[in-house]
Amino acid sequence: MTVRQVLADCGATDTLAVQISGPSGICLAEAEFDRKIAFEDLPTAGAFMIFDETRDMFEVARNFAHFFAHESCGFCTPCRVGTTLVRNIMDKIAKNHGSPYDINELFKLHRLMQGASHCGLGNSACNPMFDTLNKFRPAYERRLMSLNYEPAFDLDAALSQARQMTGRDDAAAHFDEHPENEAEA
Amino acid sequence: MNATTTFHLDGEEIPFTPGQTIIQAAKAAGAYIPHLCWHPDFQANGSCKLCTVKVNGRFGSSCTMEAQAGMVVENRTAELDDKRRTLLQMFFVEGNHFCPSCEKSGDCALQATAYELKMMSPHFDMFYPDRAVDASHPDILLDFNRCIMCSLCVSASRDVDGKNVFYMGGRGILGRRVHINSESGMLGDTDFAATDRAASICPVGVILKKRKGFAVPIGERTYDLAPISAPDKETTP
Amino acid sequence: MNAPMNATPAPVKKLRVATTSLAGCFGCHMSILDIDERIIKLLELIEFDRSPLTDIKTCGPCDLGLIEGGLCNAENVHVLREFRRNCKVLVAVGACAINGGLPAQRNHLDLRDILEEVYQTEVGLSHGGIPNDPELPLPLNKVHPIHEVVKVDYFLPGCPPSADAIWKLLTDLLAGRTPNLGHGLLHYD
Repeated sequence: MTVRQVLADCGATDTLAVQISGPSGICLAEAEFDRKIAFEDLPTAGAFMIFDETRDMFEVARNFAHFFAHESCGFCTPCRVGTTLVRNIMDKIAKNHGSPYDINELFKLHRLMQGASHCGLGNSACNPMFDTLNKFRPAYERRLMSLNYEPAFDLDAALSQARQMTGRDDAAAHFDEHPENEAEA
Repeated sequence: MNATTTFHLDGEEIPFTPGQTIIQAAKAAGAYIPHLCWHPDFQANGSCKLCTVKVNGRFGSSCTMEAQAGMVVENRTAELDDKRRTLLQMFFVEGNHFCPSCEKSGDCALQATAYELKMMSPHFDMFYPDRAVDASHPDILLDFNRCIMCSLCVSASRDVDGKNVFYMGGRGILGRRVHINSESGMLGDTDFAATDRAASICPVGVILKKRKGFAVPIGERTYDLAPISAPDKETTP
Repeated sequence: MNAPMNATPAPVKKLRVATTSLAGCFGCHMSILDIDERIIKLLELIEFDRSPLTDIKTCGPCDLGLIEGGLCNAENVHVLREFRRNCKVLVAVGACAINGGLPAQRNHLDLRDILEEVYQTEVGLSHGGIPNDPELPLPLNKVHPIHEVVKVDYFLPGCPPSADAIWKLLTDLLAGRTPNLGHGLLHYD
């Protein structure tokens, strides 16, 4: 039975993506809906999640990233730290502070965690990012701040406590979002 | 102990006795596989993943995989050392590792392994976690800021000292840590002694003897003299 | 200590180098001076732009920027960005630039508590109120290493990195080699 048949049988319309076998499984875009539910092609473990076109696959992946960071038992290094790093990068991109550098970091962490982790959780924890980056990349790209390197944190917000305590709100008490506009002196 | 067979480690033939793990056989033959949570005197823990090698093309922890005749093991390849460097960077961002102010600097296996793998920066964004120190014991200070969850102190206190002073507990990046087996959770309320094996097993600067800091001048410390990969270097005392 | 560098005379264009100390102690700059007489050889190959050594206050287009110290206030961020805009290659020099170092020890305290204690409540201090002159740069909530704000090309750890390590980095870069510090030169303390 194909994925398309399952979707038709359950009356799904305007389907954007299908996540098979849970967060650590595989995420399919429309082009792959003719693949078959079978041990040799798409083993399901009983889970079949349907996302229609109103859904944002970046947010779906980010939710899964939070799930894995929460579920990691913490025994082995790549999973304990890696799932947290992945979650932090996804949150950074969600706050429109990401850059292509951060996307490369996700791929790098995927390559490490898949292979070096102690159990299946760490080995597959980056699958949702890997699949959605390959199949729904624009969902990431439209959130990127720029094509250049971006700070790890919100610079202007990092002055918030000092502003509060000094009562200042002048220009020098804020950061320009676009440093290239800064005067050269 | 009769070495019956061999396997290949980076092209070198390594003899082993049945039941030996890859890292045990490599160590006996003087070959260095980077590691942090493994110690020859204790059962393998398999958590740090520094000793990850490629066995017949597949990743595996050399501290837990038994050697098999004829297996082909990749160790110090660019690919594996690159992964190890990333694992080290993970340690350096998840804890608070400020070498200039650490008594263990120069004798620290984490630091020396990072030198060996030429780790130039922590690369990732720092976590700066809040972790309390435990100074309740008269002779020993515990600075958990530097803990790498190797659980060697757990093994040493349980298997050698017979005291079970430490145990690993909690889950995930925030929860997992070394706990102290006393009602208060403080080391001062245990029968831990500075002469315990566990008092000198820590590969990093968590378990420190009070009034002994910075005793050896810079230039003469363990890993000032030779890198951790040198054949005569041991992980920890 | 013989440097693997042949000082070829004249026509070679000198490399323009800028240096600065952000939230650091200038110890890394002292270590640069510790290359001793080798600085004469170095000056045949490089010229300094903005640096505490020249007292030039702003950074012009440079081949190489050396940054000591981490980021603890708004001015540190502005200077770092000025260096990144102007320097083709940026090097984080020393523990503070690389992981926040000693100034980052305040990261376990809330900045509001620190300001309150230092300027308002602690006995024996001035109680002059929290300074709010616009001339003063505001401190960041937390101290950060510089790679969290701009892309950094090379890292030279150490507190401070030794003069020999600095010399090795500079001569490697000048010779077109990827800097490679061996045992004894690469250290974090």
